[in-house]
Amino acid sequence: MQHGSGPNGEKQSKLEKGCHTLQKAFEEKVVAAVESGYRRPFTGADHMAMYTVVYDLCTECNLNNAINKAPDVLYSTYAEMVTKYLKERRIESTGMSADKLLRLVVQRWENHKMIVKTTVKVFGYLDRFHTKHTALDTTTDKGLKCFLTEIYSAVKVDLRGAIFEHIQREREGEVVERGLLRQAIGVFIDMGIGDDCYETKVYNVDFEAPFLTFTGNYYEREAKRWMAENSTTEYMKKAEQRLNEELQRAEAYLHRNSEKPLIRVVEQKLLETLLNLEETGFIALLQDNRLDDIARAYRLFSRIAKGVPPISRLMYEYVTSEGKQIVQKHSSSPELCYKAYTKDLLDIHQKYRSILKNQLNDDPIFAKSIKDAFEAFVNQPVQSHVKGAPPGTPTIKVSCSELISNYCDMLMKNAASKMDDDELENVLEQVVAIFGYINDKDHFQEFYRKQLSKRLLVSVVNDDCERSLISKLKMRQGAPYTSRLEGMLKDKNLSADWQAKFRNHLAAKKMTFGFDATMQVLTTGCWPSFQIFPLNVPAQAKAAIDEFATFYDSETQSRKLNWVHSLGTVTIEGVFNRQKFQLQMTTFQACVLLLFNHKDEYTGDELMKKLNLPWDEVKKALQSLAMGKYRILLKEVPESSKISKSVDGGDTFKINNEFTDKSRKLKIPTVVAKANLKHAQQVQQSVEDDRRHAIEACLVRIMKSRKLIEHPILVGECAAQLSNHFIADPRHIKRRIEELIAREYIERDADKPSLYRYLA
Amino acid sequence: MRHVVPRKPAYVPLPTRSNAVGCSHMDSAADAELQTLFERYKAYGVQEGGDPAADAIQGKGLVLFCEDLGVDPFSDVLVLIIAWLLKAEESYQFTRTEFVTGFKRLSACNLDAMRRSAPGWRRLAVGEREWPQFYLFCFSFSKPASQRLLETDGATELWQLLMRGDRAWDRLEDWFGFLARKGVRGITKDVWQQFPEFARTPFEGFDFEGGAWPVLFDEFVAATQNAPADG
Repeated sequence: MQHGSGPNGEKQSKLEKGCHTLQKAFEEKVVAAVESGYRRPFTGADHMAMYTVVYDLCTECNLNNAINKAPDVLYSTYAEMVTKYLKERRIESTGMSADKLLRLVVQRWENHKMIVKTTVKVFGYLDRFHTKHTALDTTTDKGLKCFLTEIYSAVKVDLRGAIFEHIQREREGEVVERGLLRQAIGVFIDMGIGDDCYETKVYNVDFEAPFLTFTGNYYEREAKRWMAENSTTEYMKKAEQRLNEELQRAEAYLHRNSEKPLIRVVEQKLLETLLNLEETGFIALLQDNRLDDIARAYRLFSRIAKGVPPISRLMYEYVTSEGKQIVQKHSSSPELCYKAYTKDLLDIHQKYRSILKNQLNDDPIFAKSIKDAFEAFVNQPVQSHVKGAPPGTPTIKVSCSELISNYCDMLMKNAASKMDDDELENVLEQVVAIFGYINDKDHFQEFYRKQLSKRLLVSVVNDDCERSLISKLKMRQGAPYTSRLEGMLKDKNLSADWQAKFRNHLAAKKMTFGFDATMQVLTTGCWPSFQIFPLNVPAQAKAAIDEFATFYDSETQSRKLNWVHSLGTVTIEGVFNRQKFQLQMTTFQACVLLLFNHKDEYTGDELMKKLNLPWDEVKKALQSLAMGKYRILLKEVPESSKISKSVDGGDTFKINNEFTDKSRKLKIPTVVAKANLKHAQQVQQSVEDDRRHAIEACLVRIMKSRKLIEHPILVGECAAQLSNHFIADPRHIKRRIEELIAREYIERDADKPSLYRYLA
Repeated sequence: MRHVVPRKPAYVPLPTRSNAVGCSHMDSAADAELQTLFERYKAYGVQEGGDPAADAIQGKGLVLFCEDLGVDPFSDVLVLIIAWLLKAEESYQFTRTEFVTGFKRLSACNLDAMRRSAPGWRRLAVGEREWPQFYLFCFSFSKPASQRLLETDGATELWQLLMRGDRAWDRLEDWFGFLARKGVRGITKDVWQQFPEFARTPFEGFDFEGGAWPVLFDEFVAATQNAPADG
C-alpha cells in the first residue's frame, strides 16, 4: 500500500481502503453467516454496503482518463479472500476415518457453495463488464475453482478412498448412507464445472476410472470365491442379483454416465468367466427341466456379446441327443407303432417350443439351433422289424415321412368322432410343424397321397378335417405341393355330381340295369397310378359301363375314360340252399362268381381266360373265395398234384351250395398283400422317378434363363431351388446334366468344358 | 468286322499298275482308276456277305483294301485316318462317292500313291489341331448313326489305337479294368469327348464336387484313390 503521490494517489488508497473493507465485511458477515447456518443473518443492508463499495470503485471515473484498475484489483481481492478463507479451513485427511472425512468434505463444499453464491452477489458487478471482456472466469467459477485448488486437490485421493470403503461395505451387505455418498460423489462432478464440454472430465478421471478398476477387482475376487463354493445355478443366481444391485447403485448415487460402463465391467468379470466353465451346467438344467434356471441363464448370457452362441450350441447337442434317443427307443421296440413315435415327436416338439417362447424369449439363435436339432433326428429313419418275418431277417428302415403320414391317416379316419375341433386343429398344427423338419418332403407327399386315395375311395371321409390339414400344408409349402391332393378332393365331390346327373339321365331315358351302378370319375395325374386290367365284365355290368361312357362323352370333350376295376366293389345277392345272402366283395371276385351262373365248374385256367386277367389276380380272388373265412367256392385238386394251401391253374372250382352263415350280410375279405415292405419300396420308386423329372425340369428352367452357366453354379442353383421339396444329391444332379447333354438340351462350351450352353 | 479272323480272298484279280508317279493329271483317268479299285473291293465285300444293294465297300472289302495297302486293319489306325480323310459317314463302309471323290481330293488315285501318301496322312492325324477332330470322328464312325452309345469293347479298342505316343496314358489299362468291373455297357459321346482332357488331369486334388466331369470319371478317380495298393 503506497500513499503515492501523483494524480492516482488518492484513488489507490481509496481502492485499498475499499478492498480492506470488503475483506473485513466478507469475513465478519458472509463467512460467519454461512458457517453459523445463517443464525447470524447476512442482511440486505450488509449486502448493499458491500455492493456499493464495489460499484463505486468500478464506476469511478478518473479525471485523467487513465485505465481504471479497480476491477482488476477487486477481482484479485475477491480471489484472495476466498482463497484465504479456504486455506484456513484446510482438511487434514490423513488418519481421518472415512465417515468423518466424507461428512467434512461434503460440509465444506456445501458451505463453500453458499459463500460463493453470496459473495458473487456482491461482486456481481464485475461480471457485467470486467470478466466478460477479459478472459477471466466469472466470479462464480473463480470462486468454485478456488475450492478445487485449495481443498479438493489435496483431499481427493483420500476422499475417493473413503467413498470406496463405503461402497465396499454396502456390497458386503451393510447399509450405508446413500445421500452422503451421493453428495460426496457430487463433489467430483461439480469439480468439472467450467469445462462446458466435459462436465464430467474431472469426475471421469478422478473418480470413475478408479472406481471401475476397483469394482472390477472386487468382482474378480468374488467370482473366484463363488466358483469355488457354489454350483453353477447358485453362481448364476448371485450374478444376477449383483447385477441388479449395481444397477440400483448407479441410479442412486453415481453419475448417469457411469451406469453403462459399470454394468459392463461387472458383466465382464462375472459372466465371462462363467462362459469358460459352462460345459455341463446348461445341459444339466435342460435334463432336469429347470425352467427358471434356464431363463436366468439365458438372461445372463444374452448380456455378453457372443454369450448366446455357445449355449445355443449346447442346446442343439442336447436336443439332438434327446431326439435320437426317441428314434433309438422305437428302433429297438419289437413292433414299430407309428402312433407312439409320432406322439413322442409331438411331445418333444411342444416341450421345446414352450421353452423357446417362455424361457428363451424367442431368441432367433436358439430357434435356429432347435430347428437344426430337430432336422437332425427327424430325418433319421427308424429301424423296424418286418411284421411276421422270422427273427434274423434284416430290419428295414422306415422314414419319418411314412410314420407321420400313417398318423395323419389315423387322425383323418378317427378324428371327427374322438376330438373336438380346437384340439384337432392344435394337433394338426403340430404335425405340420414336425413335417416342416423333414428333408424329403416329396416322400411324405407320396405316402399321404396313396393313403388319401384309399380313404376317398374306400372309407368315409371327413371333408373338413382333410381340407384343414391340406390348407396347412399349402401354407407351409405353397400351392404346387398340395395341388394334387386338392384335385383328389375335388374329384370326389365332382363324382357325386356326375352320379346325380347320370341318374337323371337314366330316369329320363327310362333305363335300368337291374342293379344300382355308381361311378366315380378320377382325374389322372392327381391320383396315384392304378393298374388297369382289361377285365371281361359280365354283360349286365357292361351295359351300365357303356351307357355311362356314352353319357360322359356327350357331356365332356376330348376326355378318355379308363376303367379301374381293381378298385371297384360289388354287392351280390346269392342264394344258397334257399337262403339269401348279401355278399360284398371286389369286382374281380364278383366277376369270378358271376361266371358260375353260366357253368357249374371251372378250372383255374379257364377262369383266367374267361376273365382276361393275369393269373396273380385270379389267384387272389380264388383264394379269398375258396379258402378264406367264407367258403363260397369249393376247390378240387386234380389227383396228380398234391394238396397245397394255395391255388393252381389246374384246380377245379364250383359253387358251395351248402354255404351258410349266421348273418345274412357278409363282406368277403380280400387277400392282403404284404403291405409294408413293398408299399414303402413302391413309394420310394415313384418318388425317385418324380425327383428325376423335377431335377431335369429345374435344370432346363435354369439353363433357359441363364443361357450360359458354370457347372458349380448350375448345381448350386438347382439344389437351392429344389431344397424346399427334397435335398438333392449333387451326384444325381450331375447325372441329370449328363443326360441332358446326351439328349442335346445343353452342350459344353468348346473351350471351357465346365461351361454349359443352352441349346434352343 | 472287327471280331472276325481275316481270310485270304479266293481269287480276285489285282489291277495292273498304270502310273508309277501318282495320280494322272487327267481327271477322267484318275476317276477311272479309282472306280476300278472301288469295284474290286465292293465286289469282294458283297461276295463275302455284304449287302449287294449298297453301292459301297463294306466289311471284307475294306479288309482287302487294307491288306493291299499293306496295313493290318485291326491294329493300324490308318484305316480310321483314311475314313476320316474320306469323310466317310457310315460305320466301316466307304461309299462310291466318298471313295472316289475323297481320294481325288487327296491326290492319291492308285494304291502306290496311297501307300506313298500314307505316312503324310498319319502325321496329319496326330497334329495338334487335327487330332481332336480325328478323335471325335472315330467315335461316330465306329457305331451306327442311330445308336447313342459306343459299345465299351469298341471304345476300348479305339482308345488303345488312338491314345499312343504323346497322348499315351499310364492309367489306360486301369481305366479299362474299371469299365469292365462296373459293367459299363457303352460310352456316351460326352464321356468320349472329355476323355483326352481327363487323361491329362492329375488325380491329386481332383475336384469331385465342383468339377464338371462326367460321373464316370468321378467314380474312376474315387475307385483309384480308394485302392492305392493295387499295382
